[in-house]
Amino acid sequence: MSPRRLCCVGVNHKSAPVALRERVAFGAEQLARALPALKAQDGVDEAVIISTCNRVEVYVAGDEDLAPAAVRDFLHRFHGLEDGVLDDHLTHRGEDDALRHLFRVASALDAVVVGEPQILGQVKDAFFQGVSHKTVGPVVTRAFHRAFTTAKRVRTETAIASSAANVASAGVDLAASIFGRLNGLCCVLVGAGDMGELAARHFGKAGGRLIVVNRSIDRARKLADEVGGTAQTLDALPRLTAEADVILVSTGAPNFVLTGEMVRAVSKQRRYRPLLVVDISVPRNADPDIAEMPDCYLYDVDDLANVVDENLQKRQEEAKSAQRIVDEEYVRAKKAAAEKRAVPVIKALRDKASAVAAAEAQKTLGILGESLNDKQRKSVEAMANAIVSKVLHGPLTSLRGAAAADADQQATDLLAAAIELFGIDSAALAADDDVSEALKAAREAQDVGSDGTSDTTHDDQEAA
Amino acid sequence: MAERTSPYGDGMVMAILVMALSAYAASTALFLAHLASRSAVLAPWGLRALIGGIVLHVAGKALKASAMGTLPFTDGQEALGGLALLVAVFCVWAAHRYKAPVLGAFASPLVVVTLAASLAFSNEVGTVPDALRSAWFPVHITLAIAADACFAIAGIAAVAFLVQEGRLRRKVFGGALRLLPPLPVIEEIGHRFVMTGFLLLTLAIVAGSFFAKQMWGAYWSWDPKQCWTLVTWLLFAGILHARITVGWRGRRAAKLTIVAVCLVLIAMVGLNAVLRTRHGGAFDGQKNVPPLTRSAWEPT
Repeated sequence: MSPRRLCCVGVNHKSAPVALRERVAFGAEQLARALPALKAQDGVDEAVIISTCNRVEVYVAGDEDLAPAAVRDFLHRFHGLEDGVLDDHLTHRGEDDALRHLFRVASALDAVVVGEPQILGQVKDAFFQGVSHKTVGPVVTRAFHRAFTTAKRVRTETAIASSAANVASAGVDLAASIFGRLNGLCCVLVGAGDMGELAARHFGKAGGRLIVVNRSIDRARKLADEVGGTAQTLDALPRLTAEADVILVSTGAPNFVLTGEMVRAVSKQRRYRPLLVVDISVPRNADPDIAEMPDCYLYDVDDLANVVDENLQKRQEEAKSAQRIVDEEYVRAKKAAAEKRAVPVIKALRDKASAVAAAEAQKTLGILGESLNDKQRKSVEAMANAIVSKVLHGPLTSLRGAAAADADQQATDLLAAAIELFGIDSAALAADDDVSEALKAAREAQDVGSDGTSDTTHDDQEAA
Repeated sequence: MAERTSPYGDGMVMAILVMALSAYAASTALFLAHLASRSAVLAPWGLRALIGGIVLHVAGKALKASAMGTLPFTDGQEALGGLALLVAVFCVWAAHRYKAPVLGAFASPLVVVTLAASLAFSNEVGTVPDALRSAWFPVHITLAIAADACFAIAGIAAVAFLVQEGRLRRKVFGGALRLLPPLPVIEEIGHRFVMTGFLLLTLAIVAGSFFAKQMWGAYWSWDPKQCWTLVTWLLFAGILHARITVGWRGRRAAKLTIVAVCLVLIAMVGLNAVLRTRHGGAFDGQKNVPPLTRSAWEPT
């Protein structure tokens, strides 16, 4: 019998264009059909599918020769693709690479924007789908459990996901530095530019009160309905300037829509309340003089782009320490797995031996019959047990030793030999890992990042 | 003079205080490393080292108090030590309450310098001048030191505010920006400590005037230190008034707070060195000088 091995077959943003990725993506109800069907394939014992817009990766445990081809065929068949379209793009990762890759994916090191926080939730959901469709087993569970632990360490020990990675969330970050909390802030969105709208959505999601201002009230209403705010015409802007905490300017106008006079006029009324103006328009729509006024903070597109650049640079640096954590956890996982691999074999060996001892003792006692007293009967049983224990002592010690040592190949060979020599039934070898433990690890890993404002607002590319 | 000898000896107290100083120094080192590396792991360790220092410091103080039979705040050296201790305690509280461990990076160097200065003075378990054995004296001195510690934290918050505000204004978005708390949080810390410090200072002045009545026969005698303190009291009153009535805040409020805090520092440390004041015996290098009698001080 060959042991179950983890492998990963799939496409991601590096190996396949979006046109292909979208053809192999799994929607929620497709997943419900796909998982059991995948598990039914020859050579596949356990399966989890991670499907986001940047990657479709199938993690299976099973026969290391049969499983990759089975997954490849399955992907073609399930999505009705003509045979071979995926062949140039599918990446196959064997046991070690698959584990390391899973760690990197869960820790957002393999993401388009390194460190973006959504992917961990998606990995968790993928695993949860596997749990609810009963397609996960000990190998996959252990791998995902380790991946969640790794992701948690990366989140706690590095600052990889703690900064904004796009212009809209950079604006929100600045607001957080200026106002502390975003909840209840009055945010005025002037114009209907895409970036402005995105930033307004971020503010809305963070608990801000949105007011949409446009030259035409109809367009203002339409956008206000979309982003969840109230609508006003442009005439209201001077009045709103007194009220606003944040003004997002994003129009196509060639002149200053928000003038220095407007802000200066309300400065008394504002009573030292800070005003954040984010000008996401080119040409600029907010008077640069505003930046010089007390309690006023003005940022334009370039400023925000600088924030993002700096953040991404920092993420790259943090990614190095994150990679070190991944490597450490990988070594740890390998070692634990090696040790664990010996446990069921040793247990099966022991069970088998003590069954033999008990049976033989029984036989002897049957022949000797009533002539023995209790003490003598016990001695016979003890002798039988002692003989098998003594015989097994050497083999068990070497098995344990080999498993605990780093000599992976030696351990594998020895275990295989033990299974072969002692004729152990493979059914007796199932070591079960606790699924609920793995899910708990996933929850904890996610909780790590969710106390700040940043996580909820930085939905980058991998969401959608 | 009532002589009291320590059952533990001066060496013991000194050893514990030096250990406390080392813990504070370790805390400073950790916080500086935290700022340099921006690694989130280091800040909690900095706070832990600070707490360790506080525990040792309190132990040292308690030992000394039991030896002296009064609060160990009787001279300048002890007052400095007490100030260091309270700054550390307030810093830990604020860092915890406002989730702003970075405050430690500002406060712990101050704690180290203050305690080191305190230890540089002789640290013998001394004698308490009889004249200072009034019930009002420990109340007055404790309140005054607590007020000064509050103002120290308020000053730290004001500096942090200016740093953070300056970064936002100059658009320097490096990592340190993220280490500092948001502006309103820093302001809240500053406001809270100005308010508490002001309250304590007021009580200290009241207690002090009762003490003065006992010692010098008058509640208020326009001693230079009294005048100076009155000026800082008025300044803080003004800052609080503007904040509470018209919501005055921001850069200028922070700057004025720093000025007021500097005045407090001068009142505590510098004044005795320059001016002759009947608050003497603290920082003028003379220890345990019997307070001057009334006749020597009354303006003629």
